Amino acid sequence: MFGFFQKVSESPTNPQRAPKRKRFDVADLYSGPLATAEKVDTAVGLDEKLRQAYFWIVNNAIISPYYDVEYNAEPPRTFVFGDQKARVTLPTDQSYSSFVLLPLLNLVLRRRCLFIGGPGRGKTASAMLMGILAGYSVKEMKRSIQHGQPQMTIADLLGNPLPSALVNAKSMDEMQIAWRTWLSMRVKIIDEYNRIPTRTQSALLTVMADNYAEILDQVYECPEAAWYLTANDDAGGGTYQVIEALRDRIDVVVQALHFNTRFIGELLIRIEENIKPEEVVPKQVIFSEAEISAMHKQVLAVEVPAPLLRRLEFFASNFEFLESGGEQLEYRTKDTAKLAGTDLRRLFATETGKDQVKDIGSQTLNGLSVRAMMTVLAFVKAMAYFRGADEVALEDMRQIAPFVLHEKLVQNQDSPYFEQPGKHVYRSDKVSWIRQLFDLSCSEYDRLGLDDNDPVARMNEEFAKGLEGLSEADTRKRLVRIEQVLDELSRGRKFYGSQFDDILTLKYLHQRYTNYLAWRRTC
Amino acid sequence: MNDGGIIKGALAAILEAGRDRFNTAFARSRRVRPGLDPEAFGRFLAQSVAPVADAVAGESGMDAAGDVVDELYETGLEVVGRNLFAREPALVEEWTRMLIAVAGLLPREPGRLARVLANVLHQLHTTAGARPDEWVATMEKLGPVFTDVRMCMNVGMAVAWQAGMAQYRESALDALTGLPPDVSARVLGLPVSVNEEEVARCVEMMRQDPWMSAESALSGEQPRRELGLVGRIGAFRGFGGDFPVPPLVKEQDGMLLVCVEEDAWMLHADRFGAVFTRAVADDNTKISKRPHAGSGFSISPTGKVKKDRLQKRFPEFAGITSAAATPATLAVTVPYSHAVLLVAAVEQ
Repeated sequence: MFGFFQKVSESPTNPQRAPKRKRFDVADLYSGPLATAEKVDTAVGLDEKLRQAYFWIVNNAIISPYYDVEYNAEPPRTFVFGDQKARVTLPTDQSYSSFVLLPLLNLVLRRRCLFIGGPGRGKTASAMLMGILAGYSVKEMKRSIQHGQPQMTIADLLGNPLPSALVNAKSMDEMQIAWRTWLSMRVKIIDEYNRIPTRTQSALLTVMADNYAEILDQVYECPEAAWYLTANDDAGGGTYQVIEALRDRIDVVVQALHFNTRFIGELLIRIEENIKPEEVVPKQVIFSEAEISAMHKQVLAVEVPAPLLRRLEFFASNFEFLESGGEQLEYRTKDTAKLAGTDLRRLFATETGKDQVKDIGSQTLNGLSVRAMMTVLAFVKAMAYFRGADEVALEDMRQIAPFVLHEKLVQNQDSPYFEQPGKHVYRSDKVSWIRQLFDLSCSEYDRLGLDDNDPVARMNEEFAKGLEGLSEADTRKRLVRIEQVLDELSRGRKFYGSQFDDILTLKYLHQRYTNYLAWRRTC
Repeated sequence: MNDGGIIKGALAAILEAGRDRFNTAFARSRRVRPGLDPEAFGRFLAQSVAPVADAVAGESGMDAAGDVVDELYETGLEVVGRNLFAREPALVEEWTRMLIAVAGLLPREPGRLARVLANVLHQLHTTAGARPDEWVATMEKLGPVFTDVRMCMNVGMAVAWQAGMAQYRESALDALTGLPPDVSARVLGLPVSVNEEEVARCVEMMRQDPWMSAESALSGEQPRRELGLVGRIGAFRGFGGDFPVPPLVKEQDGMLLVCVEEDAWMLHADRFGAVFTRAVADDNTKISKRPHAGSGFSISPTGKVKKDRLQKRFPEFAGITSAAATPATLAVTVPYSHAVLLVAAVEQ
């Protein structure tokens, strides 16, 4: 079985040209009917090992015959079904199942992945598989899963003071805690985290956010870990509202897709032959701690080209701004209104004159946090790395950002955008909704010609070169230029989110140059 | 010890400890390869994996034996499931002997080493003129000197050359200069006391003259030589050979090329054997009944061959159809024969 997993495809035999003085390739002597896997060099080949892990999983472990992360080398064929015009495209380049791909990327990045979906859809099984890929045994993983339940206490989660320490300790420093083993693991699984009571969620938050656990002034520092959390729907009862800070710590959300009934035969075989894929994970796709760390570094080294970064900036800039959120410009944000407890929907209604359909900011109740943007950057780098690229492509961003922003962007379901024909589906399909947002943002970006005509970007670059040696005259010129651009922007009748950060940036630059000018005069 | 397919010893303990895992792997493999015969696989485990497991356990302990068994189990699923080596029935037994011979090295890279050794044996069995039994016997003797997997593979290549895989001559000679001198000496059949410089000189002389023995190369003296028929290679396709009609030879870029209709083969020949490998003929080089002058060989229509001061008549060369030569070897073809005849100046 594993022979063909290890098999390197052989190109068709070609007749050899007669060489001048040929040194016969000794690889021919060592090759034959049995494929020989080469040792993996940690400097190269780890991305290939990651891909091998992915394909092993989809071919042998998880029955997930889906390609919802779609890439195309050339325009794909599409087919339309039904009166709601359900569209299916046939990708023309290697495409992937998000249910398998994203947990793998999460393993490399050591972030926090949430599996959502109905019961019995393989959420916990997939999380366990990630632990086995990280080198743990099945037994270790099974015993380390933390199962959320309404009576779960902090002690259940983190550990207990040793009874002898409770009796004998004369101060808190002398307390000894029997910490739970799972805290030391590099893959952590929290099953049904929305069944953990709120108080215990706070303790979990500390571990997830700050990587340490604390009981009675004793601290346990946890190693860097990849987290996998699962959540059922609320229909079964016994669930709690997840505290917003904990929800915000989730980096990527993966939906367990339905089981394709055409593959029930596979399930039958597994039952009849007692096949447990987690028991037979090949060694070739098990990663050591050093390998995961090496991959992490390699991922971070993947470049994000400046034009693509600019598109991400433009996309993110659309959401925070709320014109009626405050008086001072800096406070005209959805966050200001939310902190004041104001009803955002009511404020949206006051934004008359603006095209609420065109303004993609109207589709959300919040903006993107710093943490969200950093997570997007990390995951798009990981996606490019997985595909074997040295730099991120637009499609990487388009495909992966929706899974990262799934829990980050809160939808304004009352937005007129969703009332348009065919757009109501985005109220439930958040991945497609966010991808649509990104596409709309890119269209607007192109319409504005920002790749070629972006005065704010040019001024930023100019400023980034530094102020040293800048003369008073040149400083004044730059100040005038900033004011000119602001004047041009102010002539627009409508004020959209994409301009908001530009204007604040111009204000920032103006202030920096003003301070510099003042300093020069005092010298 | 294992008899009649009953597994005992280290393998039995390892299989028992990982029973579920091994059974799952078998079931999974069988689903993909329905031809995987449980009895045949059981025999493979008993006759091949079990003695290797015992050998590894004896050398390196049970943990190492467990790792090796994991790899051999997987390899066995493939070998038996795909019925590999069905045409080389001796191969599995030879492979087992090899794995036992390198039991000390196996735990380091069990999967790769086991597979490479199997592939090398397969190459030896499927190369006309190669001598796999000789290779195995030599490698068994040399097994105790291997200090790492790379050495084992380099020595394996050199021994394969000496077992008739003449196409690896250059690479084998390169490998010999990179080995510890005592190991190279053992491979070449020289006294183990030779030093690195002597090995290098010996290799260089053998590189210049593919018909020179290692002993003569070491002595540094040119031995007495005479022209002799050193090989008759090739046969009619109907008798298991490569040629449907009698071939022709020509010299191309310093190598000997054998041509039949649209096909061509490169001929590699030295004192250890001769093999053909597939090639592409250059149409600019013509077939001739005379070897080119630079080779030092000449041949008359009556079959009298001259090389430097040596000469000899070969009656079987009467009516030659083609002749080509390198400085070391003359290749001749004659009508009514599907073989290529080789002449060289060999040591008396």
